[in-house]
Amino acid sequence: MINKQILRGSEIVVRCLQEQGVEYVFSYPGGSVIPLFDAFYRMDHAITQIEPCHEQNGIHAAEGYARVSGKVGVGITTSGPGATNAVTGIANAHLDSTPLVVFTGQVTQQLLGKDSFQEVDVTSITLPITKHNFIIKDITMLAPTIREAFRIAQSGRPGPVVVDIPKDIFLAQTEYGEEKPYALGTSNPRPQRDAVTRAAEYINMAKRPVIYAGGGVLKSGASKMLVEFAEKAGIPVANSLMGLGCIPRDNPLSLGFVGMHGSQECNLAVINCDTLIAIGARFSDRVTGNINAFMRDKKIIQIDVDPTEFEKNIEANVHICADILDALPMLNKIVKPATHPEWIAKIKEWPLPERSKDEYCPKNILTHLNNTYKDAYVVTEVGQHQMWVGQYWRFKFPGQYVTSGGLGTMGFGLGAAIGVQLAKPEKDVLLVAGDGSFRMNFQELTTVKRYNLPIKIILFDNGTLGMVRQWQKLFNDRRYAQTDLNEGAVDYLKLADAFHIRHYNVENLNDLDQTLSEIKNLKEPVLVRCAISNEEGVYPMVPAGKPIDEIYYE
Amino acid sequence: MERHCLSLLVENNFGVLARISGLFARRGYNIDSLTVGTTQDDNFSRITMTVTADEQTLEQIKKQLNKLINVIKVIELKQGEAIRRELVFIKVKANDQTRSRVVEISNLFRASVVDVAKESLVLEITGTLSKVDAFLNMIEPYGIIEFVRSGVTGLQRGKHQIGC
Repeated sequence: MINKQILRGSEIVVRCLQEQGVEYVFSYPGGSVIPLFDAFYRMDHAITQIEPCHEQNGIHAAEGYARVSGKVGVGITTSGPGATNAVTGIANAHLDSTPLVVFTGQVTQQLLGKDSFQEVDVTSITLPITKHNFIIKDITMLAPTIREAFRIAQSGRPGPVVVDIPKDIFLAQTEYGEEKPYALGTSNPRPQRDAVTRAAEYINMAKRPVIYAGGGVLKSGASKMLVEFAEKAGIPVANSLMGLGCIPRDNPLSLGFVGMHGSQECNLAVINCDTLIAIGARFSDRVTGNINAFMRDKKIIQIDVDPTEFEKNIEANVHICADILDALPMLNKIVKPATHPEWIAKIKEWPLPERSKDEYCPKNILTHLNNTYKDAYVVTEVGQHQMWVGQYWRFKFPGQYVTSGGLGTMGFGLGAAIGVQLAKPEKDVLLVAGDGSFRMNFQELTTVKRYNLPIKIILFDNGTLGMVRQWQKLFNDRRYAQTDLNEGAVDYLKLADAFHIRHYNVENLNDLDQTLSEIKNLKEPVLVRCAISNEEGVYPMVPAGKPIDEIYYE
Repeated sequence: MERHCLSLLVENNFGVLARISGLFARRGYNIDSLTVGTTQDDNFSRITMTVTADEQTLEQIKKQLNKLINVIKVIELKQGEAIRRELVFIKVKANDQTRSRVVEISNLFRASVVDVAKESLVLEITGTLSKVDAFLNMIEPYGIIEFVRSGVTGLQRGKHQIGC
């Protein structure tokens, strides 16, 4: 017999979060959520509120938290501008399929639709960037809707869910009885046996197979299974950017990431393979380049839990619609052990040009950093530095690389790093940032300091929006429109000072090594500014829309 | 590209139509017609839509619709397996000289005259798209002032039902 009691809506929200085992909420107060914050204040609960400086970063933090904890990230904003500030964060989670539940306050129901103070139509605004959204208009629906929101966010292909709650719902009362979280996964389709059998036949016949593994592998928790499968069938693994970490980079079968900035060996392996096994990957334009060239002369097997991924960007020869964690063991059982030595030897003939190990350049900076922080989570902003990390980091474990893939959100990293550090308090968390992205949201240094999160920020300062500049250099005849940040240059060391954050300046590899040895054991946030040349580019590069074997070098 | 007729069972919530029309707008699918109505169960509505799409796009449309949380079921109403009809009102010019001829054509098509005025008639016809098109074609020379089409609606024949 469940004990029922009469509670206010605001209290029901808190109790429902407790039901779900929520540890942290990333919340920013405002008029329409005052009753909810009051409930958090009054109630004896185990949920910690983390207050960002800006709602966007609160949602990024919730996403960082969700990505490395495997739980649902929770954000709370007020109505109107609070909700619109959250939009970029929600869109980011939507494109990277991260499970979030975002609560937005709303004006009271009597004021809805009257252009009231801080009123925006949140469900309409977030409709195309959420997995689903709700507005609560009946207090008795509050608890069931929140439970359903958590179920939807996590089930199948995960994604963000918005729950818009008018202020009067927080104040209304109804009966509440505790419930267990709704069961997940029961709605996932089972792997289709005949499709699995056909996939295995293609794989067994393949002479030049490649696995193309995306973020879905990490989300499904199937990384270990993927490595077993790749090793049994002797198939090299190319990752999408989001899939990095599902196989250790030091595994001989790992090729790194494929696409616009993929390595030569990885891109050539993917384009020249005869059988491509896509697992939890969505054939984004940044991966495929010219789609016809990408698909040419190969059989494609596609495994995904989301049926809309089939025949969306490419047509596969076989598709298996199921949770990867269910499909891979079935496939693994029936594929024949193989090694493909000639094919793998051929791939190794296509390596990346090396640079001198003494040179002060992004690759060597990251390598030194990597050697110091082998087991750290690596969060990035968006741009050149993000690609460099993707190219050079020796990823060891799933979820290690936290980056904005689909939306490419400059300003994502600092917020995300906050969430990652909260989820993994015992682990080292690095934020590798570019100065362009960092300028967008550096106000969150306040939050980093306030909660004393020992995030190590490595700031690549080249005084330019490097990735755009690189395109301008290659395709716009060096007309550097609006990409020079030195007009209005920021002294990032003084900036760190203002936030009471310890900082270091690095201008060569000696500086770097000394700094790294000093900060290694510091349990406090640190900013390391690495001045780099604005002429450093991300290479190799495939121009947008070109076949991915048309590789440019500097 | 062919025209296809889809029938959807959806939750009877506000906003469902916005989700569906938003999906079509966002992904660039074409809706030719759309009708919405209640069902025997207050919790559900039924939407019938016709779309022009190739097979691959049609499959994507069905899968994307199925992915919407409020959409319970999507079926295709195929010719032969389903009854598909559309209601059309046509206001056509008709004076003393032409009225009887217009009425004669209407009778041939089993259309009915629902309004009579000095210079015009309003005709009502229910039928398949091809029947309606043929009728409009016959009436057109008399001078169509305006017409309005309800959009196609339909039901599967025999023992099949959309169910939930």
